[in-house]
Amino acid sequence: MRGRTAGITAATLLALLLLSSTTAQATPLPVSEVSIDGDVDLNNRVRYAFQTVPESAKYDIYYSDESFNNLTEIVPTASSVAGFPDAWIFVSEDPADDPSIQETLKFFRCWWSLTTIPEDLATDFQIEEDWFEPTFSTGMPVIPPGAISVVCDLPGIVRGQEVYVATVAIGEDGSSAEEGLAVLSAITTAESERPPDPDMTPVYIAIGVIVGGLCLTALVLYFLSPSRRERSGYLFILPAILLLATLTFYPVGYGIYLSFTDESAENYGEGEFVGLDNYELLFSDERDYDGDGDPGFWRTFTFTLIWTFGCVIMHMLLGVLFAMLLESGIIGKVAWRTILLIPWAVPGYISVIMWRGMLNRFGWVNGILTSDIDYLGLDSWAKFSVIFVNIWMGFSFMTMTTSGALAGIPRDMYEAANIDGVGRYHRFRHLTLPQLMPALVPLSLLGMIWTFNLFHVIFLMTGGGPDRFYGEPGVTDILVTFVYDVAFIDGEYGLGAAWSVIIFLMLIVFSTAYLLVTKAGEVDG
Amino acid sequence: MKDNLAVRWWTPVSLRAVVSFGWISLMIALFMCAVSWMRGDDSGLTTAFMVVIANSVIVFILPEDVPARPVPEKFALFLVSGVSMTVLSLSYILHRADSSVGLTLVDYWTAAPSMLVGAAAVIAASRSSRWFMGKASTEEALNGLARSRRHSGAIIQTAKQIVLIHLGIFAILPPLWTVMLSLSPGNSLSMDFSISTATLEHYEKMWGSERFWGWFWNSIIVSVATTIFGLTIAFPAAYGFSRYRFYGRKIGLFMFLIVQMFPGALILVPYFIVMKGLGLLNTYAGLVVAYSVTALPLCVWLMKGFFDTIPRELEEAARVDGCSQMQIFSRIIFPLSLPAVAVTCLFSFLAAWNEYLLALTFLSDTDRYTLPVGLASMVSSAQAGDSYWGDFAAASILISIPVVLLFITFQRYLVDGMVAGAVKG
Repeated sequence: MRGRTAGITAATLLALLLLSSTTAQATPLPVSEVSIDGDVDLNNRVRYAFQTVPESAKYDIYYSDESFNNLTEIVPTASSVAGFPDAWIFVSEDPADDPSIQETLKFFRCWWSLTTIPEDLATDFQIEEDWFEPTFSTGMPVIPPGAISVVCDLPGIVRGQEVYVATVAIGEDGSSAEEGLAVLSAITTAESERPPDPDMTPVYIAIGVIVGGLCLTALVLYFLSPSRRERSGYLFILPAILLLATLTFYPVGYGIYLSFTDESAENYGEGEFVGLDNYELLFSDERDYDGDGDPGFWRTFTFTLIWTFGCVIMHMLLGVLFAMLLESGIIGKVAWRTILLIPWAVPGYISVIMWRGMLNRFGWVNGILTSDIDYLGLDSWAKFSVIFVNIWMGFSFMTMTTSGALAGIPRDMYEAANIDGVGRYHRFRHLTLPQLMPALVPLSLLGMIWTFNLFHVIFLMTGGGPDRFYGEPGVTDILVTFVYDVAFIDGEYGLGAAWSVIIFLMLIVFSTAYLLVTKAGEVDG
Repeated sequence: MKDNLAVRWWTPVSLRAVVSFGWISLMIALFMCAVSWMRGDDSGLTTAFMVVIANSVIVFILPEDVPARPVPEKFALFLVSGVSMTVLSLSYILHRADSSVGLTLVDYWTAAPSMLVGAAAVIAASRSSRWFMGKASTEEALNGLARSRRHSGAIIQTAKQIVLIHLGIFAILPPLWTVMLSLSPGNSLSMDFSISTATLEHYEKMWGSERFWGWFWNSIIVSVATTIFGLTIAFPAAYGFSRYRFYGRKIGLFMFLIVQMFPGALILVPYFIVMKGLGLLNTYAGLVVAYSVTALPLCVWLMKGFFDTIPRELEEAARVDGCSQMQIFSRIIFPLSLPAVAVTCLFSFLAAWNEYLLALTFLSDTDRYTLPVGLASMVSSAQAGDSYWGDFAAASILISIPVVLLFITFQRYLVDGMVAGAVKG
């Protein structure tokens, strides 16, 4: 990867971006014109155009928070979701040219044309008939060498913020790109033309009604209460109930309502009721961008289940195994316990990023194993890696809880079993396991709820990739991570809410099981 | 009769030891297969697979706790397997030494156990040949049983310790890597760590970095405010649920229970819109309120559970003595429930300190980032390997140390609290 970066520095830089229809103060653009368009109808996306450079084999697109003249000056934006570079396009005659490339960008979309970019591009540029969709090589956009100009929709750019975009053309042989390909730089100071702030009166009214209604209910209950002593309980719990109602139950209800509207970042506050359209869209061919007949719902659904059950089963297995080892009279139990605690104690996001660095193709794991596997870039390996990392992160908690439960099993039962000459397997099967079950069953259900909702592991490891087609979930996307993409990268709040409702329904299954098993619903008297 | 029994039940302790350690070397040999496969090293994979087979023979050939009979064929198998394990793992080492990358630590580690166990199997089998043939005398059997009793504890303990060492390495490898990365010069992923070139430059850079301290203070402000605000709301609620039997109490408690089941990601979209509408995006207040609500159910349940254990009679007595409700709160309930309050505070604090998703969604201004979002942003574009990995590693270590110490100190409470239904951070 270092070699490539060195090649890039010498390669062509051509850049420009406008977030909205405003003036671009572009510094000299030696080789080709760069044009932009502002007000696109895609949410959170910016339409961006550039002229191609002859003899280039690939274009890398980078976002940066600050202006820059070469790649080392790039300050990655927080909105950069896809990694580094943020997007890329291949140039090739044959779309199936480079099958080794697995990583693709599910948010990125582009078109190419044989004409130059029109002068008046800056505003309201629409994709018309002389623009063609690229082909894909394992998910990567591939444009033919003859293409003159390219237009892309760059995802994940926050409105109202200045973002600099660089397109780097890379020659056939990355390192030989210096000849003939000049460096371009461009700076924009783009002011976003934000949509007017929507009318939030409905939200205020709703919150007001909830607060007022609850206070009134509390008041009525207070004065109707038969016992003068017990009724002051209402006053104690009222603040907590108010907070819960306004910031949990109201949003959930609002989310269900949103799932029936076409609310999005673009027509924010003006969403209209569209019935069940969003739910149909989840399964419809309209979202099937890669044309494989599956818009991605069932794929994501299946992987979510594999992820949930795979992780939880392994957590339980390892937890029980290691806890039995810990509790089997070893020397230095406290020290080992402390060491095994570490995966749980290290903040989750740090663990995930550590593993991402280690599993990087040029990272430590390949280094010590002297293998060369792109753990996060190959479909099966990426799936394995995210599950493996989550197993690492979760096994120690299960070990701790199980060893607590094991310590509670009376010793004399084992002594009796020993006298009766019970074998090791039967001792575990008929003695240990039944004693552990009351602790293990609710824990595993709780673990399922957690794992099902676990966002940061997959988001920070792979971002849902690889093989990410525009608008479709990636190979390692689970429902929760894909909702984030739909809502906050694509800006389609209504559709995101529909996904959330589906998740909610599935969660109810787990939760009901949990409540039934633990009898937690039967509050004490 | 007794002598006869001794002969029948006795297995030489050396054989038992070989079987015990054989299990460990079998696991490592399986790993050797996996590594060879990952390297695409086919002949290595074949060798490793043969090691696994030989090793399995040694492990499974002697059933435990079964009377020994004359078993010459097992003797032969034991010997052959032992020899082949040694030879095969040796040839694996030689094969790897021949390869382009040469021998690595992993090769030594994967091959050495099989070699040792194989050699030990050969020695143990040849020394126990009389036992295999069923010719051991009563005296030998009695001595052997005594030796078993003396040594078997130590053997099993050693085997367990070896397993634990592997487990421990598995657990601390990523943190260890981070420490090494943070001490290596350069900001690249492909670090080449050695003691002589170790440098504190990344620590110095992060320590002097305004951005890092900005994020740090944002995290502190948000976490402390969340803890205080959350506690202010949760404390009376828990008290109310614990002490008063009013109509609707059970429904209320049940509500607090189910809310825990749908964490952040689920209500993210509507949350975002409501927060946007209230103008709370990019503010501390927005995060504080959101985190408090997320932590509220757990706090209420934890403290209610504790209040339930404080006898009501204490309060009744105080009331008879003329204490007001406020005085009961401040003089009796609060001091008594201090442990529960502390644990609850710890939970709220840690949950807010480690939270990523909501912070990512609510904050778009780099200066407002909390540590999780800030640190993640340092390497979010670092796939190429030349970004800020060294700095990230140093910052992670700086942040993790206090958190890990907190976890180690309060592990019992945290485990109990988590089981009670916390949301994992």
